[in-house]
Amino acid sequence: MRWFWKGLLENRLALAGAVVLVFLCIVAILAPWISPYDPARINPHAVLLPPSWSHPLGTDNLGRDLLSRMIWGTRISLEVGVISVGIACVVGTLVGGVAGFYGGWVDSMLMRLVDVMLCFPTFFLILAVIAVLEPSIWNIMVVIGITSWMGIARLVRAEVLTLREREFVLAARALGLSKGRILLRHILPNALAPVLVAATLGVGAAILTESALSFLGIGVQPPTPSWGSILAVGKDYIEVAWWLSLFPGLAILVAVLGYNLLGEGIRDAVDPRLRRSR
Amino acid sequence: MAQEARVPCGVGEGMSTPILEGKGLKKGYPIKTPMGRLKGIVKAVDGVSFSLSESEILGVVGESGCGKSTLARLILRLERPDGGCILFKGRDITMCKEREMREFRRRVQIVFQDPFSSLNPRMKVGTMLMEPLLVHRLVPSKRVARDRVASLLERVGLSTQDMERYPHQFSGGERQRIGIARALVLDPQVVVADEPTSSLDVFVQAQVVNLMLGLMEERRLSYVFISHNLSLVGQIAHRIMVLYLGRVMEAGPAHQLMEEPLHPYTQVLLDSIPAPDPKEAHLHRLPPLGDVPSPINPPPGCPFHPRCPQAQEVCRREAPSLCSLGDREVACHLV
Repeated sequence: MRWFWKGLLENRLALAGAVVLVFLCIVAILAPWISPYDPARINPHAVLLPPSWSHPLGTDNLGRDLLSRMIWGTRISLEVGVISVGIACVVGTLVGGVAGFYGGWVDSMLMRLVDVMLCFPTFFLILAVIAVLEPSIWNIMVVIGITSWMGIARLVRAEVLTLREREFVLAARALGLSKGRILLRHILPNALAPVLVAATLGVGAAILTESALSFLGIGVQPPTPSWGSILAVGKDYIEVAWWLSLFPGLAILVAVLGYNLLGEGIRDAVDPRLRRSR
Repeated sequence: MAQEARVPCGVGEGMSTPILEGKGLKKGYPIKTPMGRLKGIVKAVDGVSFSLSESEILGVVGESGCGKSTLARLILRLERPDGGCILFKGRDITMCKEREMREFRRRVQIVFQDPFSSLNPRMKVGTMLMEPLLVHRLVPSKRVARDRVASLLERVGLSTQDMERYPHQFSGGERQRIGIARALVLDPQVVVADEPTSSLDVFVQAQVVNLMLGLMEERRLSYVFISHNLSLVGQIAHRIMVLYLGRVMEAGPAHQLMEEPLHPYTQVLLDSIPAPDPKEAHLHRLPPLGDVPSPINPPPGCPFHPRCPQAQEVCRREAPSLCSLGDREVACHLV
């Protein structure tokens, strides 16, 4: 593991991504203590105020403090990103692992299911599902999760296909260990490096999807603040209140960029061909 | 572990009852085009029979691609043969389901060639070696498993502390010792060693071979020792079987086969052993001609004829069958 950390720390961009993400995590955790105002408190006397000392990022159309709403929105974005990708990872790893390990018709069936899922335009599938279900934060996480596991399933399957012919797996079979045990204890732990990369990159994509859904008004519902929904309000006032569009937009950009840089950094650190020395 | 009386190596009284037998084993792999159409079948193992007695070393020799490793996988029932059968203590296990083979899985084990890919990189050595004991419920508790593994590790020349280390923290020779320990943890009777020393340097090779021979006496093991190194196999094996393109060319007691090889292929293999004294090298025999033919399109007749220095017309037409000559068997028209 040491070379992994070393490779990661030598990559300045990945390090920058990691620093940004650590900062966002701290902000999300400390939200109740560091936000200067209640994010849902309406103040008719402070509508659409530009950034100032009392409201560092200005206020929105209902007089709510933008900084406080952004801080609480960080929570929502990270939560949605991490949990939905977590669901995708569990589903993808299991489907890919079972498909690759058992092969034959099980493999064919599961991979055709993956192909079918990949054929759907994911965003419209999510739109359709949310339209039927209630647009709540939990529904969004689950729906994003179960529409984004296919890539991970393919990655894991490819890894498992090579691992199952490796000699330590043959040795485990010769020792009479059960198939389930071989898959869970000997194969999957060795197949998880690419999943880690895909998951890190996936969190960025999930944050983007959540923002887009909230922007369209079918994501996180008001008064819960989310970067996407702040942006949606901002577009109505973009000519008079630029701060309402700029800051949430920047936040989305920085968070997604952070995850992508870190994800690529992990990929390079894991890839032995790019490793200079152990 | 060392409580058994020392069993004399070599042709002893126990040799009559085979512990493991293979009869007419066949395995072919389909070759498909990228479109999934069948292009041909590689007959990796084509009608191989053998028998292994208690406390015996059966050497299996051949060039790369001759089906040695496939034979190992068939013996371990890691793959089902297309034809033929495997008998363990007289019981046919060829078609057994996994749960009907618990005894077989305990008693027949394998040591692999590559000590780097044969150990799970994410598992501590101790966990790896304790797992089979716990799964087979051979020990009352984890503590006992721990003690058993610790003493086994010490026997193969490692220390108790090594249980807490990961495979990448060991050298090639040490890993091969771990591989041997893993093969022995369930107390097997047969160990199939698939080129166990090929990827080690000469000094470590000797250590590993000596370790294996010592363990054999202590634990009444039988080995199927697979190698491309005829001189090594000639020194340790009781019987030798020479494979070429998945078929047995010659088989017999080691000393006879080494001293008086009957098959031209065995002669060629023996000649390719570098002699310690160049003046003694046999320079009068012809070297083999060219490379091993493709196993997808094996030559008609005797598989060795395109490279055989003594090939006749009949060798190109008919494949010789394996004939018995006393203790020995040979597949050649000229013998």
